[in-house]
Amino acid sequence: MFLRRVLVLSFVLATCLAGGPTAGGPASVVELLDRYLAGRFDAVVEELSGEVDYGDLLKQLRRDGPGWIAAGGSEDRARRELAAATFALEAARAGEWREWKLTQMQSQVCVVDSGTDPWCYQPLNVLYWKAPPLLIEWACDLLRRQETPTAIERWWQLAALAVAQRSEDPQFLVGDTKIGLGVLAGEIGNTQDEIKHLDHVIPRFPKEMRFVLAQGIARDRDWTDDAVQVYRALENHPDVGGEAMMRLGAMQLRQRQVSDAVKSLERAETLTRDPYVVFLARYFKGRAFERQRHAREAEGAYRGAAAAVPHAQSATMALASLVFQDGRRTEAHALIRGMLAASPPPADPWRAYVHADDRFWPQLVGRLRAEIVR
Amino acid sequence: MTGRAGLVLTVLAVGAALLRGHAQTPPAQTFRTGIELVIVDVSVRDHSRAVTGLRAEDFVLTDNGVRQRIESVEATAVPIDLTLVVDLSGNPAGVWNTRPSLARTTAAIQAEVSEVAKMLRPDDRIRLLAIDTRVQQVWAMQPVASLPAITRLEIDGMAALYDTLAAALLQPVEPARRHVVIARTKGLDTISSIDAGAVRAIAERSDALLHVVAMETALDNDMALRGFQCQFMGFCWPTRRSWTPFEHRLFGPVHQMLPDGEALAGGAEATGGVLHKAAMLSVPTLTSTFRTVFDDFRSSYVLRYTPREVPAGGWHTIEVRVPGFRSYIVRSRRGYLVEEPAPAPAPAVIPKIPRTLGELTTAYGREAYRQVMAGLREARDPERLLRDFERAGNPWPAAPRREAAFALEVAEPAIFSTRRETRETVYEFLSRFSRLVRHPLEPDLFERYWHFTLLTLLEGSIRPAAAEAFVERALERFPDEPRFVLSRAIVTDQRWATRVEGPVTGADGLPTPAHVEAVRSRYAAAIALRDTAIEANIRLAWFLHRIERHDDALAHLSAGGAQPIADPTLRYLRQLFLGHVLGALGRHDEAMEAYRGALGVVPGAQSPRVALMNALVMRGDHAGAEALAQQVQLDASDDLDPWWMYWQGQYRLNSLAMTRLRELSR
Repeated sequence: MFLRRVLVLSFVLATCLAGGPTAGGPASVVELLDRYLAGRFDAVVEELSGEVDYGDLLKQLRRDGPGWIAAGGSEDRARRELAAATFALEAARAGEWREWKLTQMQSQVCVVDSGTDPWCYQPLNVLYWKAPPLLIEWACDLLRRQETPTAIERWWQLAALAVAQRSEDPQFLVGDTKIGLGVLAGEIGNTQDEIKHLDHVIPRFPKEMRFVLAQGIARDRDWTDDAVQVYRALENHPDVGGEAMMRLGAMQLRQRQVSDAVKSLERAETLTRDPYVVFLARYFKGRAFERQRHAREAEGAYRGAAAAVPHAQSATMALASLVFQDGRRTEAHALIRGMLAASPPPADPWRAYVHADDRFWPQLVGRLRAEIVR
Repeated sequence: MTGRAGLVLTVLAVGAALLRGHAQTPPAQTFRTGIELVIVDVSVRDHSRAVTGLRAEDFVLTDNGVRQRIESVEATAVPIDLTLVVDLSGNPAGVWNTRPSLARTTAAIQAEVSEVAKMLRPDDRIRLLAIDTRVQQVWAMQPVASLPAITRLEIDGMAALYDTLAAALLQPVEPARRHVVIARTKGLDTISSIDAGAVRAIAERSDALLHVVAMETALDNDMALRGFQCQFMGFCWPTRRSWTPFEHRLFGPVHQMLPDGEALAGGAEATGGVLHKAAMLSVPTLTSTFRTVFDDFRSSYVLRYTPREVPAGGWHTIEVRVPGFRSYIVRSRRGYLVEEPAPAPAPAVIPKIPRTLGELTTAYGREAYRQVMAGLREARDPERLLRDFERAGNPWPAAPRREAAFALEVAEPAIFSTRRETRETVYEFLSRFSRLVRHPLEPDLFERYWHFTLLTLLEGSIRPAAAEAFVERALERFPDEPRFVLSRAIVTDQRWATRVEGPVTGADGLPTPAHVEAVRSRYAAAIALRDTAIEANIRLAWFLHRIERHDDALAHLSAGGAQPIADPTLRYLRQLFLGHVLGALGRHDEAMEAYRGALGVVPGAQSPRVALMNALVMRGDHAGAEALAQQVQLDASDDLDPWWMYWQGQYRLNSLAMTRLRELSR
């Protein structure tokens, strides 16, 4: 126990020393908020992407944010709140791939009772959130103070979902997905520290099915039955039905239910024309056919995926591999040449499979920024 | 690194002339090949010593088992195309590791590449690929003399090792050059689309020589760090980036080769290359590996032969031996593939009148809209066209908007069909597309135009019962869109006009009070919106006139004319209706003036002339009426009378709407 504490402390100390603020000192949060409010979004984001101490940024935002919002007077309050909340979101997005959370396994605890043998138990793990998820929650709390949700809050919540899904951590959205699975699986004991972001959002926007779909996505790695229930319930929804079916198919493929997977993926394609979903439905279908050793069907599916998102690497590579092995090397060479030459390379939906709504980020943040400078 | 040599084969294909010849003769039945010359790199070693001084007659070379005549043996190596593959991937799910510095990594790779470049000759070239979440081509093939600095690298964390190796191997090799791939890897793949078996299969048939340099120590360090952090600090789970689709490793914890590693080693060996692992005290590097490979090239032989008495196409297994010296180790690649030339697809010609779905979609894809419209006008079985379209799926998967726009074009003949079954099919088809056209986040401009274009068609078909459902759907998405509000009023109004649809007519032949109220309130809603106020006033006035509420009708016509009317159709209709309403109120002179006003807008229109003629008769001016009647008969004006399309509502705007939709779908 003592050794672990010493090690943790030294590690944290070393990390703090290594990652401390630079000599020149970064701009204060108030300065950054002023710039953000003035519409200098890209410059602020660039600064947030540099060497930033996100913990300190969160501290400043909690301390100085309310004063900065109030400084604009009641007329400008809503706009400043949105600016501060969106700024927090941008900071969270810039920092989420650097630090997100720590889950720490605890040492065994042994109880020594007189007269009996000592008995030991393993406490559950302890979760510590790092700054990016707390930045999102700070902003979410700020917007939720308004009793009636506004249209722009819906956009903010959609953007927050995009950032949260990009973090790849379902726990932030729905709570501990390892619950009941035990210490070694990562189950935590301090459930009071859970954020469960979607629990705050869904009651405010009960008709927004993207939030419901997000529940399924967050659960489909560990709570597959729950995820299946969500996906099936959304099948006929015009906005998310296609994606729900595609994700159901992908999950079935993981569970080796290949025929069911193909059916779900084919159903997905009939429900949407979102290229991201169409691509993934076809790509996973290709994988399913490969698993069934149906090379010709797999080739057709990969070809379809590559047609939906031209030059996307996952489908192009899979297609080129099959074509080359079939002796059509000229076509394989042409596919690879086109793929490598694509500039900028297209966003590959398979590489962003778990990032889900992050594909909407440019549109979502664009809407929020437009509202801020309006 | 041992002294195993990499050997390269280059196939010299002769291009178009031979391909033509190839296409004319079935390759399986001929010994005349499409291969002019085959070049084989051969390394001959006597233990660790390179053997030099061999002549053509010392070698025996078979191609698919048939001994070939070696035309020349050269000791001079051919120019090299070198593909270097570096590994940027980290372990994204690492517990608490530092982020790699992009600047430091870039500088290190730049230094290594420069070292390798120094060993090359001026006519050699280098391509640089990087393994990460995606395959990164840092440079395409570059002459070694003008290598650019590395300016763009992305470190995302995951490892597309197999995809990157396949991308390196799936490169065409220019005649008389050899392609060498030297790939340095941490031995972990987490996100590739293909597996190690596929890389092996590709390597076996590739023209490249593949050497893989395993950085096992990088994985060791990573695993040690993970183990330490978990065991002593309790940090056993990712602190960020928690998604890793899978983990395929080349080596196990004690460096034993796992099945993936064996597959990759097999692939490398099939090309004449090697998978280089760390030895006791040495770790292979990119530079040291290349140095050895390059030394081998310098001492290797280049054999040339023209294949004889073997079928041209397909896989050719080659074997090279030096029979006079049994202790010599001869290495060359195991074969080469001659691709059967595929017949070039004939370019699709767009017929003047495309008839099949394929012809129509080809024409539409090339924006030959006139031909498409001509084809659709002559479609004999619109229902079948719809079914074919649904069955075939989106012809433009990357352009779903184009499909949605085309869906409306292809739906038009069915919407106007006299067959009930066809109409039911098209309504179902359109219902499906009204879902597919939705943007996942919010209604957008394209969807707005799509609904509007559809509503113009449905209004044009004058089948209000069917149109109403689509109007409601459009309004659900765009509650404030004036044109949709007006559309709702028009299709309600159409119910009494068609009389066959819905119980809207009372025993007296007039509309029921409920229907009157429905029409009035819906036009009133459109009147409240600036964009549709004029048209709604005019249409409501006509409805009121038809139920003999002429004063109310006049009030709405006055309101409709209170401001300049830009749309000539509406200007015309207002004048025409004004004439009728004033006539009904007994104000004949004013009515005639209004009819003349309508003729001023559309001089060739028949309705105002006939109405004017009637008014003249009512006033007893028979001569004037007769003259006008003659004029009507003689006038061969091409002017379309807008009144004839009155009941088709906003169908007059269909062409404009469709044009805009096509623009938005590009």
